[in-house]
Amino acid sequence: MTATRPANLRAPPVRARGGDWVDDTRPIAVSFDGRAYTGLAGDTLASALLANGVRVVGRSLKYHRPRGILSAGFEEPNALVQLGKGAHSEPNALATRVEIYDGMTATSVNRWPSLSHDVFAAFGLLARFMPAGFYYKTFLGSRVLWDRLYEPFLRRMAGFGRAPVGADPENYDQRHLQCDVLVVGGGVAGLASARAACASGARVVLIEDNPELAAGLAASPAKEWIDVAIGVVKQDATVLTRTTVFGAYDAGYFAALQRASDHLPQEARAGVRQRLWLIRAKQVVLATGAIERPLVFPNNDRPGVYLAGAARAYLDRFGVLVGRNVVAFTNNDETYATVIALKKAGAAIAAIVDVRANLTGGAVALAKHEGIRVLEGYVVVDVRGRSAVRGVTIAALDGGRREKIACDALLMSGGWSPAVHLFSQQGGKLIYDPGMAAFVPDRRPADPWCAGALCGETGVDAAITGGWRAGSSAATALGKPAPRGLTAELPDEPKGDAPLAFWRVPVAPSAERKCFIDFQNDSTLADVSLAVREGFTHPEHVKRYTLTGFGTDQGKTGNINALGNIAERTGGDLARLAPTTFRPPFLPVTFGALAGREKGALLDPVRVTALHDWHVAAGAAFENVGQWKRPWYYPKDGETLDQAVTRECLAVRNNVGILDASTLGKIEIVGADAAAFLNRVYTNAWSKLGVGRSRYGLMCREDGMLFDDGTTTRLAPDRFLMTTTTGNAAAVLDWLEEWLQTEWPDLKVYCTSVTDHWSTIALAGPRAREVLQCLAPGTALDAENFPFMSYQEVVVAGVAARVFRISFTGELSFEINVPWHDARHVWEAAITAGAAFGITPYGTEAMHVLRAEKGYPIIGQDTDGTVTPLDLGMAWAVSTKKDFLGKRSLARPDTARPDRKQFVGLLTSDPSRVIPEGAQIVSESNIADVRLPQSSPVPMEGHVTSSYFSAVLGRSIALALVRDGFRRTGETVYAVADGHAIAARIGPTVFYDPDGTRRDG
Amino acid sequence: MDRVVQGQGPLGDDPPMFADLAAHGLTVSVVPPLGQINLRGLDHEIAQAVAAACNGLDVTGPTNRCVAAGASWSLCLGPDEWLLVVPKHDTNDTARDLAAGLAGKHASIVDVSSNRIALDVGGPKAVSLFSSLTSLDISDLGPDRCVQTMLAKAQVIIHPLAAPTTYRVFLRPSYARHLADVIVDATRFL
Repeated sequence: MTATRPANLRAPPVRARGGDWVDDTRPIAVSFDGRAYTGLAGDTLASALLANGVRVVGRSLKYHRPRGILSAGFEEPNALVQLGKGAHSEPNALATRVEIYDGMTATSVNRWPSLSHDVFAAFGLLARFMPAGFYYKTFLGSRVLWDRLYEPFLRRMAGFGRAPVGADPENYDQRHLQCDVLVVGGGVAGLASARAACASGARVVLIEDNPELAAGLAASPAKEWIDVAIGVVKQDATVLTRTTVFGAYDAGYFAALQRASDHLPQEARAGVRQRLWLIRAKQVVLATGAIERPLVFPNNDRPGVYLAGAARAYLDRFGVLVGRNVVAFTNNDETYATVIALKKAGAAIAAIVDVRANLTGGAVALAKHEGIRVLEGYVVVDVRGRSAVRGVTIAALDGGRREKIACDALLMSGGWSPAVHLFSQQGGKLIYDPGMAAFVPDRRPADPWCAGALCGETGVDAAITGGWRAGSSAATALGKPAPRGLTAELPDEPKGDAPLAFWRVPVAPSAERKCFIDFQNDSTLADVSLAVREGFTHPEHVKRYTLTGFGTDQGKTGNINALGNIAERTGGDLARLAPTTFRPPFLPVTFGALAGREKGALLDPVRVTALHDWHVAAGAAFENVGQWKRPWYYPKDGETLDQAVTRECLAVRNNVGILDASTLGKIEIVGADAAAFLNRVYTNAWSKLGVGRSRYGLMCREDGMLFDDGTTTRLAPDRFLMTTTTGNAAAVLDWLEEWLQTEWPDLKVYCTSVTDHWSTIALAGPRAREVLQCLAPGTALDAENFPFMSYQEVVVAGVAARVFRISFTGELSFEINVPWHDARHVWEAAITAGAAFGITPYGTEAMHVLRAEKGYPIIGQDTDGTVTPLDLGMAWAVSTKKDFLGKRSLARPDTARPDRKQFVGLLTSDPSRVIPEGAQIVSESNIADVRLPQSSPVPMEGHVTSSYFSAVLGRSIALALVRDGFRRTGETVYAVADGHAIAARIGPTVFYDPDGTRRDG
Repeated sequence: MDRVVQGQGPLGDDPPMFADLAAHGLTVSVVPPLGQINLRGLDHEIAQAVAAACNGLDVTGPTNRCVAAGASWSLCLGPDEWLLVVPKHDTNDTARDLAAGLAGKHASIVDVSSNRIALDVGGPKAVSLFSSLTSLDISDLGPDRCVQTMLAKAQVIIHPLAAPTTYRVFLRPSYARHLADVIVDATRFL
């Protein structure tokens, strides 16, 4: 498709001919700012707009200057558009990267009411009053004005697009990929690297940002070599196109975003929109190329001023001429080939303005041979035309002649900055190369391999040779054989003139305000000069003071120009300055791609027990406990939560209830030193616990604060079954393993998680024994044969079960453990057998009320990491004779203080009032100072940790942590919450059956 | 004390949600209950006794090594930990024989038959499925190696029983429905 067609020059710029990427038989209809345009399949939005003669595509951030398309790729600072509509809308899409499809809608941003008539363009007139640091200097003083006026106004003025409001309906995927050699960049150098690495037998991944490999090289003299290489690499390597490596992390880890179907119309996106690739590579070759720099001169931001390489890309890839009468302004040879290509495609070339003098190389000679006017030692000092370039003013660098030249496009090239972003992210150092006038990788042994324009290997020949060398080195570093077979016979390239470092056109200070360095942030040469004058001489300081390098483009075109000008202004050596830090991501990344499928129902695992389906069928309401779904209550006939909980609680107190307690953590602890180990991790003593007996234990962290609790049973002399709280199962196992593996490797103990193996069914209530007897006929279940806090192996409903007489309700209770696969059978057998006894399934809410009636704390609800066992009133469970984790901390002065917040019961004066959990406790002497509903600051004595209405007691009950609580029994305090102060009397934590008469039934 | 009832796993025996996956190049099936024993100890102390008790099963070698003996497998999960996978009906006998053989030694034998269920994942897209769910590369693994990783935040053991056609995935039953949902979701994009 490279054949030259008759030039169509009706309106500049135009489609001059076919391009490598476009299919001129397939017109595509798009809409921009509500107007319809026709592009070709393969166009970017930018190339389609250029082909339609659209020059202005946006307004600048600060001064609202009309801006056009500057580049042809990811470095674009200006052409940000809002893409799509509604929930599919995407802000800040780069028109230079967006591939068009039928029906695409895009709108410009940062203008009001329209692109051509923007009322805020008046800011341009105020430019001299809004220099760098203007925000910091102006919006000082009044917090009120900042909140009410400045910030809302600035937020409204801030440019960029709008985030969609609705949830993103697109699909995103994530993939992991492992390889021997990752090659980033599918240009000539990357291709050569990949080919070399493939040839030595390495597993190769090649990633290219563009839709095609070797983008825009169809006219290259090496086309034949390139075509062969593409064929070989596509066969032997994993090739990902439309994919951007945006982050380089430790140990060869890379993240890349693939635009899987962004180039397709909405209705054609059957699968994923974007895919995140997470890549682990043993070796990496960076062939990321180089980014062309603008030149810094007055009005260098006018629509119609292009990077020279972009003009070449629009011509080669899309057949679009950016102008029909072109001036080029450059400091290097590459621009000459571009200009000649444009001329051959039908553009008139008004002049090449070159800052260099005395040029003798082949590129210049070729241009002159083509009859192109070359002005050596000249610069552009102004650009005319507000919304489209109409001409330039040039001047001799030595201060002599000036001339006005008419043109409709200005190409500029300030040289090329290697795209060192990924190299730098991996910790690679940069070094200034005066010959290239650029910062290049300072390659050291541990650094990634580099190839192509990234390290100054410009020209196809150098890129192939360098790429092959890098790919070969990467493969042989892995012990692969050196590849053979590099054969590329290429014509010699003419010897050229070296580029000249040129950071700005010398102009009067007043004109510096129009010399743009960072186009997206409207940072100018004047801003950098001011920053340096005010003492900001470090590049990182200048960046933050002038905003150079911020924004969605992260200064891809402007950063090095800023650095060059800092060096000039400070009189320093550019080689001694370091570019500002390159951080991932290289380009903005969609949140959806980062989230992948971890959203909605799949955000986090939902764990269910073996009995879950039964609970669902029984109409249970569920609550989340950690990752688990637990039945909260089982409403019957439209019951409310309170009604259901009352019914469930009374069933347990009067008859029998059944609870799914499977979520408790369970750890089997085996070994000769198991009891000694428990002695160290629990606060109480375990050595004398008999086989078949259970004990309640408390666990502290080293700081003496409660960490977990549970019941542990001695199954055999060297075997215990520990239970943990539901949410802490994994943390407790980690804790045990940490101590066993790091501090006590001498202990002969092994821990095995059996949480999922055993399902736990609790029968609780005065008739629990009768129900279990039906399921285990012939087993003696009376209190003498099966006493409280003991364990037996029992066949329950035909299943070998471990049955524990443990109670979390104060009632007669049996906890039946059976393997997961048998749980449903045993549960249903219990429900059937229990029907005659009024068996009632109860949920976690009733469980909480029942345990609170007995004053049993829940670790994590009644405690919060600042509570010791002694604070809970559990001195009986803290051994004074042996050592245990946290013991020493319990003796620290603050931990041993007698007036700490302590665990007490609260009974409200009004028995029908239920205190909200979390209510703060205020002492009676201070309550007069509390002016409700807006409380004044009075000392808080503690807070309510648990609070319920107890059906069996016919009144409310609450548990609280209260300062010096143990000594304040009988005192009336006030619980303050929700605008009310509720009087309550401090008392014991056990509200029901304090003598424990009910536990044996 | 054998069970008198047929056990019930979290996904049932033949979940319909997996039926449609074949069209996407993936087969997923629920493995009938297996006997599983968690064995802990130091291999130089217990290897001989284990071999004697378990039909020559070899528990030496590096972590993640898998060895078969008859219908049984040992999956080495750590320097001192193995998952022994045996026919369901052999579980009690194996545990008893192990206990007898290891009497007096520092070792731990725990029946964990219901602590994990197993799925067999196969088909041409199986490797792609794993590459979308775990950072570990399983494509080169054979039956003599297993990997331990997280799939969608659920801890699993993947044992390439007959790679690349069948990967056996051991996972906790409480996570099984979550992982099944994730597999079905991921299959849309393989």
